[in-house]
Amino acid sequence: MLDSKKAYNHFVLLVKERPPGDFALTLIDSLLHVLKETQETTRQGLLHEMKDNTNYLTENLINVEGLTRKSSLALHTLGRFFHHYITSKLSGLSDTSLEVIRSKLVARVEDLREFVMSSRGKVLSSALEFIKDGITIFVHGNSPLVEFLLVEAAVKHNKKFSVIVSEARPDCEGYALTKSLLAVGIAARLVVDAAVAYALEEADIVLVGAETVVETGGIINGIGTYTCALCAKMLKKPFYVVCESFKFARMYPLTQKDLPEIVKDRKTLPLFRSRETDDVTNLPVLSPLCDYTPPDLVTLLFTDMGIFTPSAVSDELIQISNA
Amino acid sequence: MHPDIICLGHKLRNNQITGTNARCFAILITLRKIIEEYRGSPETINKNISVLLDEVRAYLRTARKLGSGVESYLDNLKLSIFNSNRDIGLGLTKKLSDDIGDFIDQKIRKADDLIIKNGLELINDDDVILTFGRSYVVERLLRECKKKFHLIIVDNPPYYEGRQMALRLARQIPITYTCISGVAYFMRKVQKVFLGASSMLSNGALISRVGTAMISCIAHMYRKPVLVFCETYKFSEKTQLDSLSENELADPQALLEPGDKTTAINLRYDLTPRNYINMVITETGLIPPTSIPVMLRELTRIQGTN
Repeated sequence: MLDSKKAYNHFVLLVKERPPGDFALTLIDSLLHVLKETQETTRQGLLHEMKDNTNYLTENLINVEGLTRKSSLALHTLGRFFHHYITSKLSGLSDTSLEVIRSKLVARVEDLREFVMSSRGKVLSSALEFIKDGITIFVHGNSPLVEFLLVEAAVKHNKKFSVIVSEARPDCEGYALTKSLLAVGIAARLVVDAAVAYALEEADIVLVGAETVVETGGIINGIGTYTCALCAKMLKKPFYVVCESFKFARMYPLTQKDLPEIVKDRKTLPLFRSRETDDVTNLPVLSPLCDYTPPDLVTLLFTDMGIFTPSAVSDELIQISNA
Repeated sequence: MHPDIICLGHKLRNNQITGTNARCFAILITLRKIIEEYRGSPETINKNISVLLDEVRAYLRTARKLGSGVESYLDNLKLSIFNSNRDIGLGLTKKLSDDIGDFIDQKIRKADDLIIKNGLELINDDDVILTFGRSYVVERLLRECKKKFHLIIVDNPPYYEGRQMALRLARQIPITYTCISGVAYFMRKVQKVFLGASSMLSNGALISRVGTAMISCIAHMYRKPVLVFCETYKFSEKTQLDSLSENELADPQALLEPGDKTTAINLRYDLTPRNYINMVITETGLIPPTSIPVMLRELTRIQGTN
């Protein structure tokens, strides 16, 4: 009996046990769990089980407590990448015994896990030389990778720089980032979103994370990123993106309307702070969760596979899908 | 020279067959026919067919330039004759005929089916789509789309190819027909621009019917997405920076009134730079124009392993 909920159930379990944030490894661990415990006796059966579990897991990510709707987009992409990885590795194995196939596949997935685990360190080494002493970095919102990058650069590599963080309403993620930067001694200041253009005059570079990198080389990230990118382009400031390579997706949005459904609308997430009065909170709103930043506004992408220009992203994606 | 080839040359020279796909198809079908009709000696067949191929190409080139997709395919065909077993005898005609048939089937017919399948997902209800000239694959895509959309067909003298498209689609799609001078007026209301291609170059540039570059430029100014529908056989290793360094001239009289002695230049193609193009739809998927050399590399690699 095929249990397609196995990975999902394991995922929910692991999310409760582990500290919040690193969902990519948790996803891989859940799928690895299914692979290790599989009862399937044929190649096709094994592939089918993995596919069903991956699909069920990625489609029900939004129901998992503790997971934001934004991060589910990145995990969705990872799930698809995982499926493609497994399928191509499986077709490359010519062994007849399913035991041997399974153990080889487990070894390959553990390689992938290693790769994902070490991706943060690799992104850091890509981006480090662009964080020079004395610069002012403008950051929009709070990406865990950006936080890791800045903290490591200041603490382990003794870089001296200052940071301006935008609030990133309505979730106000910028507050948490400012606090954690101040805690390690980085000179961080908070600005309201409306002051982005004002603050960019003082900034030397703009640094953001990404939920997904699309085929054009553009990015889908929290709302407000597009605004920052447009201002940066106008004011001639380089716009840098940091992300892991498993976030590369074969999506091709042309306009803001082409965003994936899951991030197009905040739906039930609150838009206004609790202090606002009722007659404001009942107004009709246009409230997207994420926006799309086209590739002509992105200068460089720092990834675990090296430094990419936006046009190189498609090259990488084509190679991954043909591998 | 075979009468079919002479007839084909006539049609090409007189614009009776226009459009890159149509010309490619006509040339390959005729070539396949005359290869199948070869009745020479089996001992020297390799050399004879190679010479025949060269003669036919040279003759057709005097009628009209063949197009980079056809030329590169015919180069491959010649190479496969050269690499064929010496003892193959009359089996060579079958081999070549099958090869041409496969090319037409895979690279034109099936490719178009896949392009249309990819393209159907790009059309939304209540879209306003702008198209220029008459591209076979764009016309088929619009005809097969069951969604409700409005079409703006932009046309251009001297050949007014858009009229053909308008006539064929008017029964099922609401159409606004205009000439190039009216494009800026309509561009605000447009959601997407659909274009066909004669070829696409390694620097991501598009070679298409003259006037396309202007449409793309205006679309870019209004930040409207420009989508190019192009089969991979049209991808070329060449690079070109402007419309004039390599082009084709058609009959200048077509631009003038009879008896007018003005010098006229009737260009067939123009070049749209890479940054005016948002997406290229091919049978292998949706790619940015910067990935054309990547595709060429992958296709050569796959062909090499076959």
